[in-house]
Parts: sequence; structure tokens; C-alpha cells
Amino acid sequence: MLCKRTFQTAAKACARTRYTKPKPKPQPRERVNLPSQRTHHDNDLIISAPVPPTVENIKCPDDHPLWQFFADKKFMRTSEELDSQSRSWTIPELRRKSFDDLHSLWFTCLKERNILARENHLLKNNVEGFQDNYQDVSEKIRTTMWRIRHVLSERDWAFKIAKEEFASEREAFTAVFEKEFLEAPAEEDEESFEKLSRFQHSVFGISEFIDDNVVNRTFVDGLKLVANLKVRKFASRDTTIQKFLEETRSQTITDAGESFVLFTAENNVNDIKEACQAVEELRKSGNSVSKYVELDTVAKYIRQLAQAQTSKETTAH
Amino acid sequence: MSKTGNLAIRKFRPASWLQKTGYAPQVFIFRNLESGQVVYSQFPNFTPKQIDTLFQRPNWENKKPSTRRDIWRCMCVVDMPDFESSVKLYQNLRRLRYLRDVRLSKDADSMRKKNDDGNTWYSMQYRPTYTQEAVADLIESLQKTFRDTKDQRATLHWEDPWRMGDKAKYWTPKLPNVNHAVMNRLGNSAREESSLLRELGEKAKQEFARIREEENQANSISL
Amino acid sequence: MSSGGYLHLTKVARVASKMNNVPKHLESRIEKIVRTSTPEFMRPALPSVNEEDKFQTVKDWRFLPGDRVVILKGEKKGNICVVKQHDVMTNGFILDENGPSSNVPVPKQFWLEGQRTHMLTVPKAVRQQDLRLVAEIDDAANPGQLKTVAVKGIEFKGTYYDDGYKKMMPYRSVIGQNDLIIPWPRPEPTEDGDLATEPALAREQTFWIDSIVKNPVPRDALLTVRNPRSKFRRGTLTARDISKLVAPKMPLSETKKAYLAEKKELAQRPRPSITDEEKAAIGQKIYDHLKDHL
Repeated sequence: MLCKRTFQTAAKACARTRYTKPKPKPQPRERVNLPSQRTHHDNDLIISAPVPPTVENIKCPDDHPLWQFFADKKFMRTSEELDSQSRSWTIPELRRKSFDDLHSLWFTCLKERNILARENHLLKNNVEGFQDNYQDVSEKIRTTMWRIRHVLSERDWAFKIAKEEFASEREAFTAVFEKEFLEAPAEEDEESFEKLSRFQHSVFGISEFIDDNVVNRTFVDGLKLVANLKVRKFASRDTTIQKFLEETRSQTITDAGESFVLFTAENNVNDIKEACQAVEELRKSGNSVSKYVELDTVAKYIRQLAQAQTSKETTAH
Repeated sequence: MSKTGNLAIRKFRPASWLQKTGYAPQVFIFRNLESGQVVYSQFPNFTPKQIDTLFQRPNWENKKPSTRRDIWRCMCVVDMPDFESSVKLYQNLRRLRYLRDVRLSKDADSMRKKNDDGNTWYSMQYRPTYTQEAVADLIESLQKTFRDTKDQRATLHWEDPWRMGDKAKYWTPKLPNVNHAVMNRLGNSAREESSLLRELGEKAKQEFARIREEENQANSISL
Repeated sequence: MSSGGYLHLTKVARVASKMNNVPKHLESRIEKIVRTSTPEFMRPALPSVNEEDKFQTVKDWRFLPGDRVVILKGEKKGNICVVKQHDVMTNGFILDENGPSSNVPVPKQFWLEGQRTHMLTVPKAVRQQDLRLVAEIDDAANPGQLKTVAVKGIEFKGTYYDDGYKKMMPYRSVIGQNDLIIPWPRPEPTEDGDLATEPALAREQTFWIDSIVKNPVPRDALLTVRNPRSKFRRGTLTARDISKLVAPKMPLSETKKAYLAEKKELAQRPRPSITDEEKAAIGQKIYDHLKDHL
């Protein structure tokens, strides 16, 4: 049977397959190395239609800065809504307006022109219109804008020329004022000191507001002049002040420190008297400000004054 | 970008590698500003190799895009709940691209908006259909991916909410648990894109760690 | 998308400008073509005028909407009408129903509200020289009564602020009689526009000069107002300016060069000098010639 010659398939056919003892199952392994890649794409994926984008998802806030380029949030104004009646500001009208007014008018114009430029661009490119409604209004506003610049330029020239001319007349003008100020009776004190404050601002640029002041030669000159005027005004009413004035060399105060003390004093006899005493003490102690460091010293005083005022204000609050 | 690009991200990476290397379970979608074509990536950047694998049938309408960095912008970042699902999402997206370009190209083409000449609508070199298809594919692949995951939450960071399509119509009915967020657009977001994506990645990693921590705690309590 | 608004920057502009600047000898021909090609209801009664000839001011127009005028020429000669509006394109006046008009067919898409037939009566614009202003003046014959007269000529003298028009208007008077002022018609009141400012606010003075030391214009603002280094204020010409102003030297032509070269060559040719023998020979010759007369 064993060595019987047969077809080669017969041995397989004769082999016992059904009742052989099954192989034992392999033992579960201790250390299994799982494959590092275990995922696979799905096999039931379907391609679907493209998803169109939508503006629904976008919320534009009302205070979005680009709204400044729109009039009443309108895409384009119609020709009825557009103000084509109004004219530009004239130069005489603008001459009456302060710098701040002109500045704000300028920005209003600029903003409006931005709106108009946007609308004009849309009209000419998207709507393909040939009207010049927006352009015409914009031109009118442009006229206002160059006029503002013209007025400011004119103002600057006027100021420069006046300053030059006034340099020669200053002496005479100051002399006239001095005379009027000193000769005014005591009843008109309030008025004359108001005049003095206007005078010091106009001629020397000494402002009531400490922060506005710029310390320069003119300022210090003004300071000295005002101090002298104050002392001389009250010298006729009080003997101490009179005596103080007589003791002063050539009856004029030339020291910047002394002038500053007198300048800051209130405008009444007692305060001026106290200031005079303070100046006398200064003189006794030999405290004087040299001419060469005058500007720096006065600037320092002014800064200290401003600081004192702010601290006073903060404590008051 | 060099000819080969960043070597580390040249090939497909499994979940374990991503986790080990310190990436977050994210999928990134980039769009081409010039042509509107889209590239999917497992990493916050991509290589020319990925472009080769994603654009298998280039033609005059769907040319293989250039790798110029300045004309690619991140369109969307998908934060997935775990690394496996993020890899699977990436695989699904790639498969869908293959279906659209190769196997079902005729069907895909029939769904595109056409111009008067019967070609895909375009303006200069730009074809908006590619980004729109990418959004549709993203919805489909997220849906299919979530069948196998326990946690079905995902966060999508969009560059522009405009591009995601109508939320009520396309997203909520199919994917109710998906969050939509908008990337930070303050400042020069185009220039700062890499740091922006890194930040998003850091946040996603922290979130992933937090959820794992919570799960562990929950398990320990039940024991 | 075509860029209609920036047409003037394109090459098409050249063609377009040609269409607007018709040469003199083609003017009548073009106008004929235009007239025949526009439908009758769109055709203006008067020829359109050039941009520079269009009326701009009230002095140009002479009659404003609301004025009463008498027609001197045409089928409606002698009728007194009221000016309804100005026709800006033709410098014409459109008058009320007493003025000339024509019946024209209008296609349905241009029908006005309430129109029933295709035929529409359209007013025809009238030229300024065919109109005279009508005014009412005191009748010298019957004191206390007014009489209506046509004014032959109008002249403008002086100005005043007109409340109705809200601007300065010239006084309109009869020529030679400046005391006989014919007032402008009152315009229909219009509301102020959005960009308008209240008159009181506009007139309020907020600028006061209070110091000779402080510039009323802040220094930083001045740079945006005026260029301090403007070349128009500098007063000197730079080398660049001069090079722009001075014409370059014309290069010489080949012929001219050749001519100059020849001239130079001729100048350099050695001049023949007369020797003493030659001088003697000449002297001898002259002597021989004149010796008979000596």
C-alpha cells in the first residue's frame, strides 16, 4: 500500500483530514508589539457638493471703524440724499474761527471726502455711471479745505510780520501802559490789574496758566517789569513799600529771583508788603540770581510753582 | 522652503509618533491665496511631498500649486479629541481628495459651479470651488471619523468664519458637538501665523492632557 | 468688469477726446448725424454749446426761473411766459405752457405717470436773445397804478445778500436807469443740506488775537499748512531748475560741420605775400598806364 504507484493527487485525497488531532493554540504572548499604525480611512466616504461661504456668520459691530467711510451706513447715497446745495466756507468766514474750530472743520471735511471718494469709486467702477454728483460735492469740500490752510498760513504770516514790526514799538507801547497803570486811581484797582494781566500776556506771553508758560528772555523781562510795576503801584500807598523802593538801587528791581517773589504775590498792599520783606531778607542773606543763570533759575521756580499747584489740587480733591 | 522641505514631516506619521514628538491631536488645512487650492497636513506646516501626494491628477484647472510660503495661509485647524482620531481624520480627508481627483472626478466636476464656457468658474487663477469642496470634505470626514470615537467633541479654528458656510444648514444637523472658533486676527496675523499655530497647538495639548487627567481620576474613583 | 470711471486714463480716451473735439469743417456734418440718429423726443430744440461757453453765473443767465419774459421770435412771438428752468446743455430757457412746444411720439418705456397716448407735448428751449424781461413799473400816466413793460436791456450794478438764494446777488436794473431795479424772483424755499452749517454758528467769532509773543498757529500744524522749503518761496534757482529751464545746444548737421571745417581750412591757407620785385612791377605797370596823362 505504501509504495503503490498512483496519481500524485491520490495521496492527498487519501490523507485523513477530518479526525486528526488539532494543533494546540499558541500561548498568548507576553510582550506584544502592536503595529504603530492602526487606523485606516473609511471605505464608505461620499463626496458631496461644495459648501458655499456665507456672510451670515459675520457680525459687523456698529462701532466698527470702517463705518466712518459710510454715510448713515448706506452703500451709496442717492442724488437726493446728497447735499449738492451747500456751498464751501468762504475765507472771510474762516478768518473768524479759532485754530481748534478750523482743525475740527478740517477733519469733518476730510471724513466726508473719504465717504464721497468711496461712493464715487463705486459709481464709476461698479455701477458704471458717468455722473459727477459725488465728485462735485467733494470738490466743494476741497475748496473749504484749501481755504482753511490758506487762512492758517495767512494768520502765521500776519503774526510774524506783526512781531517784527512791534519790536520797534514795544518800548513806546510799554511806556504808555506804565503811565496809565500807575496813574490809575485806587478805586480802579481791579480793572487795572486785569489790564496788567492782559498786557503781560499780550506783550510778554506770560499766561495765567502756569503750564502754558515758556521761559525765555521775553518772559523774564516781562517778569521784572511786572514786579516793578506792582511795587511802584503800591509804593505811594504804603510807607514800608516806599522805603523798600527807595533802598533799591536806582529804584528798579533787576534781580530775577526778587522779581519772581514780587510777581507771585497777590495784588494787594499786605501781600506786596510781605513780599518786599521777603526780598529784603533775601538781600540780607546775599541771595541773588546771576544774570547768566536767570533763565534756568526762573524755569526751575516755575516748575516748582506748577508742582505745588498740582499737589494742592490733588489734596483738594 | 527647500526642495524637500522639513525632513521630519515629510512622511505620514502615526498617532504614537505625533504624541511622542510633542504635536497636538490636530489637523491643519491650508489654502492657496492665488488659486484657492487646499492642502491638508498633520503638522502646522507642509512639504512639497504633501503637495505631490495630494495633487495626483494635475490639469490646467487644478495645477500643482507652488510652495511659495507667502501665498499659503492656514484656513482651518481641527482639534480632535485624541491622536488616533486626528490621524484618521487626516486619512479620510486625503481619501476624499483622491476620490474627487481620481476615482469620482466626473461626479466631483458635475457638482462644481461652471462659467459660460462650461469650465469650473474662475477669476484669473482663482477657483473658489476648491476651498468650498474642502469644507464639504471636512464635514464628511469628521462625520465618518466620529463613528469610531468615544469622545465626539472637536474644535475647529477658522481663519475666517465666512468660509465655513451656513452653520445651521451644513454643520449643526450633521455635527452637533463640534465647536467653531475664530483664530486671533489681531495684529499681523499673516506674518505671525507660525507662532499663532504654535500657540493653538500648545493649547490643544494642554486640553488633551486635562481631559486625560479627568478620565484617569474618573477611572480611579470607579475602582 | 470694465473700468468706466477711469476711462480718461486709457487709450480709449484718445478716441473719446477726438469725438468731443470735432474739427471745424466736420462740425455741421457730425451735428447732422447726431440729430438724425437721436429720436425726436430726446432731440434738443437748440444746438448744444461747448463746455467753455456754458452759462455759469446769474449774470450770464440774466433771467432766473420765476422771471416773466416776452418772446420776440418764432410762432409764439409776443407771448408772455414764465421761465420754468434753465437748459444747461444748450444755454436755453424752458418756458411754461405759453411758450413754444412740440408734439412728439414717446416710446412706452419713457411714458410719464398718467400718460395715455404716445404723443407728448414737450416744451422747446428758447435762446436768450429771443427773450426780453417783463417787469411791472409805476405808471407815470396814472399815478398809483402799475404797468407791465418789456425791458430792452439789463445791466448789473452792485451786489447785495439775497436771503432767498442765500448768496450775494447783483442788482439787476434797466440799462441806463440804475434806480429802476428789477428784483430777482423769489426762489422756492429749499431745506438746508446735511453738510450746511447754521448761519449763527458760522458767523460766530472764536478767533481773538491776544498775544504778540505766542503764534496763533501751533508750530507742528504749520508744517501741514505750508511747505517751509517750497521752491516757489526760495527765490533761488538750483542747478536742477536751471538745467530744466535752459534749452540744450542744438547738434550741428553734417553739412554745417563740413562747411565750418572748410572755412577753418581756408583760414589756415598761407596768405601770398607781395615781394619788393612784384611791388616794383605793379608800380611800373601803373606808371606805364598813367604816364601819358602826367
